[in-house]
Amino acid sequence: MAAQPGSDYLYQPGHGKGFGESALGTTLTAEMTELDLKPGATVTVHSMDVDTDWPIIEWVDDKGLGRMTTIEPTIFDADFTIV
Amino acid sequence: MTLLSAGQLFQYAEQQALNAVFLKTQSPAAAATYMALSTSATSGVLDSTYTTMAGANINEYATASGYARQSYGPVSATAASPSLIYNTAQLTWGPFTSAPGTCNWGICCNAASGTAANTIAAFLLASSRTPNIGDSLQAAAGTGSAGVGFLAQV
Repeated sequence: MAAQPGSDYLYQPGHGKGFGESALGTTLTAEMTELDLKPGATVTVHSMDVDTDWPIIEWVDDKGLGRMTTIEPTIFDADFTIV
Repeated sequence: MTLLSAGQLFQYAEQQALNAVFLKTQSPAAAATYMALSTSATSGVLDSTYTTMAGANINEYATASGYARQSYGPVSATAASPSLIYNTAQLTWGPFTSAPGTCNWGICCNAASGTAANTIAAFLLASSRTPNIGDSLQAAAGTGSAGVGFLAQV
């Protein structure tokens, strides 16, 4: 299902890895692990990138800071479930 | 080309500010502003006459790397002369899903995405950063007198 701006989604990838860890293909450093988007995180679709139409998600990292990250649409469809 | 220095307002913001303080027009409505990252060289590239993120040498990180602009979230301009404005909280980009290159500048603009966003100010990073795949990139909160973070003054 296409991302819907304003809706909440659960990051629940089948591989069970963090978003950055999955991209790298191996374990991140402790510092980068702390800053990674982790399975089980709830995110909100902020908007669609006006140039690429990719979803931009808002989420809060383990430091309690708000983040915005662009997600490739096929990964969004596979790994994010609407809640 | 009119080159930009660190913390300088772009032409779009200069006009907005002057028209507001000299009571030529109503100030723009309060709204969110966003911090982009740019790979432009530290000197000789960014042009202060750019009014949008479509400027030829803006060189923003690509969306395909997982990158997105971050909410700038500034304090209210300080009651001091010169008056300062800076990011309230630490800003963090990523995690990156491909290596986005070396960034040298933060560019504040008025939309979360798109080259139509108006440019407000450019901030030279204290040192360049080259994040790897999986990394997140952090910038300190501004603290005014310490001069860290993304700080502009008029």
